Amino acid sequence: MNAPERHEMFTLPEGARKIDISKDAKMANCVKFSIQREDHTVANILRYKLLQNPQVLFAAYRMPHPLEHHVELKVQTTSRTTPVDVMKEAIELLMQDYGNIRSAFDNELFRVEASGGDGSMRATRIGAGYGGFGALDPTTAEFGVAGGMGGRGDRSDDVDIDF
Amino acid sequence: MALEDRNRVVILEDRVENVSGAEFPLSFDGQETAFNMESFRDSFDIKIIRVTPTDIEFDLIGVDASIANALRRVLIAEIPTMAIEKVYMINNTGIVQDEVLAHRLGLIPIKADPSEFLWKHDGSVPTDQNTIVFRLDVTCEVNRAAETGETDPKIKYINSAVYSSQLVWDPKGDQGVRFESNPIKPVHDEILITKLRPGQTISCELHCEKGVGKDHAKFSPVATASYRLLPEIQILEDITGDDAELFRSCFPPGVVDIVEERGVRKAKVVNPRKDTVSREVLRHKQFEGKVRLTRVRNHFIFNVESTGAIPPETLISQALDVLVEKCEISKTALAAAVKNGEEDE
Repeated sequence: MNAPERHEMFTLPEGARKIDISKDAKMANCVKFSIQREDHTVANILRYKLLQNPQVLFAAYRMPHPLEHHVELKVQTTSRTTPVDVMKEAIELLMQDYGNIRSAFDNELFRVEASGGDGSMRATRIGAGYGGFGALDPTTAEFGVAGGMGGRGDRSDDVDIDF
Repeated sequence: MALEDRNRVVILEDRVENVSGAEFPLSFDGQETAFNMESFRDSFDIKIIRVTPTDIEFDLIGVDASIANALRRVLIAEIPTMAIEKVYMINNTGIVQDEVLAHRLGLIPIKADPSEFLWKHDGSVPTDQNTIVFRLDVTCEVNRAAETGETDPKIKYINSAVYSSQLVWDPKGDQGVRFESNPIKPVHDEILITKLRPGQTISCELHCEKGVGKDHAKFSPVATASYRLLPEIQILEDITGDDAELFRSCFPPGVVDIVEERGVRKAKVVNPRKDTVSREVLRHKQFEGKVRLTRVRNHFIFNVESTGAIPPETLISQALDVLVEKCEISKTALAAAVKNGEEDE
């Protein structure tokens, strides 16, 4: 009865801001970012990317409470830049990273699927240096069909139906 | 930690060393360890080891644990799928109570492309764009054709066990046309839902909605999504003769082989990937100082097993898309927050 609504984990309440910025009054160039409805997935990669930047003196995050679905990320930088700027830079770099991973994965998938025509070829390729736990049987090797992922998710012409 | 050791987690007989990474600026005197795109491109690689219709094994090399972990977390909790969310019970005289039955039904993976459906938000009405309807109508009866004295309930009764194959898809609106080539059904036909005895009946209507694993585990598109670090066995000093045999027996078959070099039988690591890192080798006095067990800190061996609703290779692409989307949301939110802050001042 008192259980919190499940969707509260990921739907932003009306009027709430996704990110709140509050300056630390006691330290120079120090800012706390409160990110609503995010968890370790986002906060940890941001922390990692921020720490990569030599201008960042301090970057750490915490989840204040397991039932409150937001994270706090504290960032302090040198006087040469500002926490907001390094944050923007970090997000930009992360997007580049994921773009790289995505294209590398697609290329690799294309390569594997192209060589998949001949099962024995694939088996030798995989055997070379890898082997893996599940040794591949060239006669039963099959690929899942990835087709049919049309982007119809954005349809707005809802048709009400009788229930 | 030495500079050359920064990508190795060292496994000792009683502890694990170098657990946290040191890929940060100024970690090492005079060495540039800060992130730069060129060195990332050089070291970064993805290798697909195995793809089947249900699972994928691939290596993600040259990234930080936070990125690999974000990918894993997104795979488990943030890729949408369709699952039974509402069960309208018309009649249930079976032994399994309504709520337990509804829960069991909810966990059945449904083969439907979630990108074809819209989110059903609170209070919105079910439409053919956001809901899939199944019917389940079963009644158990005595099988008149069964011989007297028959004890096997499967023969003695009709519908003594209810399986997922008995869910009947009820296409609404244009769903029948949209999914003509790929009719919507449970991924597996032989999931036991409940058991019935003569006279018991179940009649209900089931509504599937789009959701993510964060909301409820039934929406998770993966059965398992995990990674481990690549094990590495460093032989510091030649291990020969009978010791080589013993050395080989310390590892799972296929990890270490014995090669003959100029008449001397020598242990050689051939496939460290198969190693379970049992540390058995560290128990033997004769190998002290001759072997070092490590794991490669930035080499992640991902194992992703799909529930069958979405092919595994598509799952990875979708997970990366979700992560990019998250970055984009943060980017716009940050810009908005900065703007708001300026107005406040």
